[in-house]
Amino acid sequence: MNFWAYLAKRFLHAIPVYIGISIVIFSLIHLIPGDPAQAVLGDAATPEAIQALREQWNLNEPLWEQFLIWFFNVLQGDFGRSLHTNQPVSEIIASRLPVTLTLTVSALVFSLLIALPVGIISAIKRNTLTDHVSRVIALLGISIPNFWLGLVFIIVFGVYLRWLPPGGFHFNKGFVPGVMSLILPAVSLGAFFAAISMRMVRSSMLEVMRKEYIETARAKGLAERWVIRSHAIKNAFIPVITVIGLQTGTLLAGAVLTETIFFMPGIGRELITAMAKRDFPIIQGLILFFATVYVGINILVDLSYAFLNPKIEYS
Amino acid sequence: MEKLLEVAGLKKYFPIRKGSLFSRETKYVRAVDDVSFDIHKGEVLGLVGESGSGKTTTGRLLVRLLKATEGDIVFEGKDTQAMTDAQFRPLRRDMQFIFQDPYSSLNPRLTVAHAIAEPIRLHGVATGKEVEERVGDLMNTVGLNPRMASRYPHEFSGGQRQRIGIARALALNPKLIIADEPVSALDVSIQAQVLNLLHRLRDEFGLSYLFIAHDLNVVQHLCERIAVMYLGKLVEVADRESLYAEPLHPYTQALTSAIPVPNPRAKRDRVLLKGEIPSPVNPPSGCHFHPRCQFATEQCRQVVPTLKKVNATRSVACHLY
Repeated sequence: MNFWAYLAKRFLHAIPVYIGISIVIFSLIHLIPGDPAQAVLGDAATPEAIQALREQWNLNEPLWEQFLIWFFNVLQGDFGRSLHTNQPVSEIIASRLPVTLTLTVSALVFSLLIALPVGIISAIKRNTLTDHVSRVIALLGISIPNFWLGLVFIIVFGVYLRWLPPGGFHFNKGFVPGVMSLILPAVSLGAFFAAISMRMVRSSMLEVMRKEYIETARAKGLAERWVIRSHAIKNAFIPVITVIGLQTGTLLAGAVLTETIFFMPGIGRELITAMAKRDFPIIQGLILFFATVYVGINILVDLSYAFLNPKIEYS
Repeated sequence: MEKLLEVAGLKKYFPIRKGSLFSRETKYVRAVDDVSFDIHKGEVLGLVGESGSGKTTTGRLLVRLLKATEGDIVFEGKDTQAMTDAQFRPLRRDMQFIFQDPYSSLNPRLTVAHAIAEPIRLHGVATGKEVEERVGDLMNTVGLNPRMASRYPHEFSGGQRQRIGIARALALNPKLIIADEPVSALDVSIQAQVLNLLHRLRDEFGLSYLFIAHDLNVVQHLCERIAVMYLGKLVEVADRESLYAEPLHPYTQALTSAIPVPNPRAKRDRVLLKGEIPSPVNPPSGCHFHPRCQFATEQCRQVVPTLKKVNATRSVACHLY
């Protein structure tokens, strides 16, 4: 099977996944207690006014009918409008997405810049002080929840030391203030990812370094540097890229908390706000968007295998 | 005959830590314990022993895949133990290693052409277009079709892979090839093909081999002299004819008597060994072989025998001689 046929097949597979996700999202959201009409109109609203609004939003129809209405609108590219501001959901996502993308990509870049060299060095210098120190740091990175790390960063660097802004997203004030405002959230979001990737790189490197073809490379008379660079790293990265790819999705989930803590106007904070207000169309639209990113990343990771590993063919 | 390689008093002790965190006592696995032998130009020396006898470790020490604890390795008059890694690297051209497992010893991400060409380019044996030609020649030499050069290792069978390994080892025109059980992972019919190939290459290129094996039968066809190893020590070194005709050391006797004979009715005196090879961490006192030896005496339990010459072509480490 060639590349394009494989790609088409993967897209076809994604369709049932999407239908499933849509049903799950829709049902879960409607299981959340609370009435959006009540939330919009406030405690003082009369029961008649609430009824009228529920009628307008189709909230009195049976759940399956509400689902079908929403689902067919989504198929036509209409994700609905915010119950509160009447803004189209797609517009909200488009306006908030750059913030989230900047945050997650910076967190990803930060964590890979740490994880790859530290993981490789840790594996090569196994059981030395360098290795022990980096493993302890990695364990801390995995154990500390990113929202707590974010709060500590805000208190230490934002409030006491005043080195960096404690929140916000300041690219509108120029590039430098923008980057400054990005450092704390990117580091606190990327810490877990850096730690987990570093452990993955380390264990994968250790495994490859035990392989006999590494000895073969040494016996050929290659310098150790070259053995590691050209024989070990390339082989070690096959599993690493899988894990990194799949974990990239978790960065999005982490961004929800990070944006909330650092008060960044991204889609993550939008989701939290929408949940508080029971703004169903926004919640559904955003979660469907997250799901799309996950599915997309999965397909990309699968496609990358064949480039990395000659043993794998598309089938 | 001129000596190509001289090994004297070679030792490799691997430290192992035992006990709890606080009462650490370091013990050693004496994988290779005072081994001496030499290989002449154009000669094939077989190194035979059970698994765990230290024969693979010995091979790896020679090409510095492992660093020796003690002892001298002199290659063409040059003491390699005194060299730094960088000084040793040019010598790797002359000493190549063939690995036991043809499956794991080839990098799965390199094409055959790439794997063979890498040392050629690196050591500057050839450049540009010559490299490709040389790869093609080498593949022909080992009986592979050069058109398969752009394939990956997983597309080949075990025997073919071992041929790739041999081509790779030949790429630098080495003088000595250390072959670590090169056929033990292969089917018997393929074993014969690869052994014949090694035999032919030796005549063609005037190679010397250290041929490591656990099977006396395999060694018989290729090696002029055979060294038998037991628990890190050489117990007997002899030319092929006398070793097979009249093995001296009781361990060698047991090994030769274990060689299968095609005729099932032939009357055979089997020397059966009791027990397993002991741990090299706590080797038996005196002669390491005494607990399994039917001729063991009090002297064997106390005194370590040294390798003594019994005649011009053979030496044995046993108190009986």
